[in-house]
Amino acid sequence: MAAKKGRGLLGERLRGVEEVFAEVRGQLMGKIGIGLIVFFVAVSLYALATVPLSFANKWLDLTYWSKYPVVVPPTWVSHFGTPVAPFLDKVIDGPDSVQVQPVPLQYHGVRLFGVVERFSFDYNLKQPAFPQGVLVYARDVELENITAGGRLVTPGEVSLTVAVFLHRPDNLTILISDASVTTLKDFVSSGGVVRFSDQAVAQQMVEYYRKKGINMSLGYAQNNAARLAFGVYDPKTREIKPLTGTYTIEVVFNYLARGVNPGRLVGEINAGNIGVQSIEGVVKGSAYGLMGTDNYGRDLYRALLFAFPIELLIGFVAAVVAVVIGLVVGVVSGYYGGWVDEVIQRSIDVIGNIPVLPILVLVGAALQERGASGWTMLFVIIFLLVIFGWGGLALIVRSMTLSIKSEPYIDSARAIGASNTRIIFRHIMPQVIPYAMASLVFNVPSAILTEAGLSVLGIRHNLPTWGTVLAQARDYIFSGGRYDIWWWILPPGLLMGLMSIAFVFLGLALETVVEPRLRRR
Amino acid sequence: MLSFGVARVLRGTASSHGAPGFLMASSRVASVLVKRGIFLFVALVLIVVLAAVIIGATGYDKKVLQAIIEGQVRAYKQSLQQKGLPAERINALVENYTKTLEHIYGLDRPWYYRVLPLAFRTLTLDLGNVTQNQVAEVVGEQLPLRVSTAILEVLPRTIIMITIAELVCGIIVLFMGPLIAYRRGSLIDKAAITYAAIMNALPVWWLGLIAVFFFGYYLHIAPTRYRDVIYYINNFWSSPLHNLVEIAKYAWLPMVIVIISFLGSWLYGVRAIALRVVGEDYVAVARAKGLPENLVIRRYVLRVIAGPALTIVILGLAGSLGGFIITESVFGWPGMGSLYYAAIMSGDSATILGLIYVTTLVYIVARFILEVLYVWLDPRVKF
Repeated sequence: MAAKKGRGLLGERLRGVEEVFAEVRGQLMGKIGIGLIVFFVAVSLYALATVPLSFANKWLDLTYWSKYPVVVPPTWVSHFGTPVAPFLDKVIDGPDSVQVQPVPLQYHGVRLFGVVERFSFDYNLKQPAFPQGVLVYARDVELENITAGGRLVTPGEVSLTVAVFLHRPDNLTILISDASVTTLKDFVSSGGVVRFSDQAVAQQMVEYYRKKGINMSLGYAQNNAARLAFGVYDPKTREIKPLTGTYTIEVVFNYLARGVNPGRLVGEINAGNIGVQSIEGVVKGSAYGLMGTDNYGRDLYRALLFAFPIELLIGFVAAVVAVVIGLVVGVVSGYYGGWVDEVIQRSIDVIGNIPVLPILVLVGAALQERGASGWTMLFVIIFLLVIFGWGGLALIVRSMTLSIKSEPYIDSARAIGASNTRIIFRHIMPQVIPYAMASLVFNVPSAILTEAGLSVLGIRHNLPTWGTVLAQARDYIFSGGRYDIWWWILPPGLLMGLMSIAFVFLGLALETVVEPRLRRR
Repeated sequence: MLSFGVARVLRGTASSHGAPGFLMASSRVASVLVKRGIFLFVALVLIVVLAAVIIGATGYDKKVLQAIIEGQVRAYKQSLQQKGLPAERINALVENYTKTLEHIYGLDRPWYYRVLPLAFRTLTLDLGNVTQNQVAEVVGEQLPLRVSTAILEVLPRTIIMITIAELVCGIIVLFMGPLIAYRRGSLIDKAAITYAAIMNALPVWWLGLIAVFFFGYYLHIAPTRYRDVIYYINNFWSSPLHNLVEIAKYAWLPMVIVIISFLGSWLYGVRAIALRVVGEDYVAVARAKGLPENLVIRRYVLRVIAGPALTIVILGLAGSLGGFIITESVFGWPGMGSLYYAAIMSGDSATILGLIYVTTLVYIVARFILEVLYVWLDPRVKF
């Protein structure tokens, strides 16, 4: 056999890999496979760059998502005919006006007296769909004490009434929040949030329709509060139709501090020493984002994106480690033989007999009971996948090693004094590497699918992965939710399938490398 | 699982000691088979012990037992309080009771005193009693319930759904596999590969989810509560024909899903094996001799791939008994998979060990039978 010019040990081993790549590149399926994998890696890099690692924690913090609509499809469904109420999230930097209200005034059912600060923003509802609700956050609230009349007035002594009004396109104005009286200090310490109030809206709506001669029960009104607020009830069809047009949402903060001249208070608010300086107004529409939301309002697009690198990590780490172990063990077992071979073979046999899924689920459940963290569980799952994964390749590599071992050129190499290591790395390794790569290709999707399967079963590592998202969809439906949540169910499964297809195509193309008999003449 | 079967099959004629033996010495074959049998049995024991160790060493069974004890102690405390005894006396009695319970349940000793005896009893088929309600629910019975009864009642349901599906699938595959391999590169071949690739890639249970929602909730032509099938199976003999129809109404969707997805992976495996054979010289010779295709397939190809293909089929059947936790859970089908799931989630150690023992036992017996069949079917196998 003509000796190849020395490319070094590394070069020799790479020879096998290079041959593989050349073959694969030349086939259509291989091209598609590689293309898809490149796409996945690119998206993963994009994900790592744009979504911070802390997203994993945000995923679990449900209050973070309270301003988003729940269980809504992506916004682009409007192009396909489904009407969509847009999602609005706007910061209003300064009030429209801060005025003194010298005498008590009844403003749409709310008593205003003292200092009245108004913010407002518009909401354009162009398509006939219902928003889910309205939220107002007081973003920038100043809480300095003010001296007045020789005394220090603290925010705890400033009484505050907060009310949110909805001015509809049909010139009806209703109060859409509770208008309870609290103090400035309490308002801030309880979060500074004003929520849409079903009861307030319901009462007003029942009253409004009663005046028109239409009977409506309070219970019905409460259950359909958001729809009534943004729609019109038709007694003939007993349906609520959305009211399109421009709505104005007015947020009123009514301050009253005893012993403080209201004019003085206005001055302090304007100067930015006390009171609400800016607000964030949110109208939860009926659609959100590129991929919709789940039952907690979590943005599925960001979750699925975040999961890309995690899925690749799971697949690659589990598969690569398993393949490397299988390769090494297979060669050692085949080459050295003897009791080492026996032991290794027996171990593979035992492992092969273990029912994989039950043991995985068992370990997962046991760890969950102990309260292991998300990343720990992920690590354990990968570890187990590796343990169950290296055996198949080891057997194949071993048998190949055995047949190569008996080739004449091995004997010649030994006769001229080649050491065992040299023989292994120079002659055996390059020939078994194509098998290793083929095995890699099939192990990756299986690892990903198994992890997803475990999530569906409830072994939660609480990190957002495609499997976790699917699992939560299933839980939601099985506990009585909607079942037509296509945007929630289809994308994760399709993504998993796509990634697996990428590797399977790669594997099919590799097949011709591994089985020379199959090469087209 | 498939990889192990295929790996063994593709090993071909590489012998395990580098020295070619000759099959004719049947006593040698017998001794090897016996050794194999013993080894497989040892593997079984090890696996059951491993499962027991997992349950014990991770503290899982301890948690479950503690929860049980807490419940009993609370009930006891309440009954004492109702009697109106002084607080100190109650606390002393409760403490005593707790200690007694801990001793009974074995919590005052390290975990191996609890789980290992359980493991060994399981190995002798004394499977013990079901301790959790969740498990009994899947079976459709109430506690007290013996683990063996539970398993035996649940077994037929899984067998119905999955085994028939796999049989149908196997028949289809055994027919189509060699045909496709024969016409490599044709449209059928490419279609089959693409189908197999897609089916391998998509999770079975995801298809199941979508199928249940589409056919069940949306179209209403499939049921959405599969637990009800228990009634028809249990009372099968009271009016077999009617119950068979009812059972079919429940079983058709899961079965179809299983068949569709398995067609993918098996088709690919058998095709790979058939391709090896079709490339062999003697097939080329047969074709060159002018034999009709059907004859070539039947006489030369099928007989050779029978061994490996049979391996895949039988291993698949045996493995399916335990491995369908996810698919069954998606449908809510009350079979072995759901039993496993309920047992693991509720920490019913006896049931867990019993199930693992039974399913591994079946798998090992299947493998052993295969080894025997292999010797018989393929004269090239040397020991």
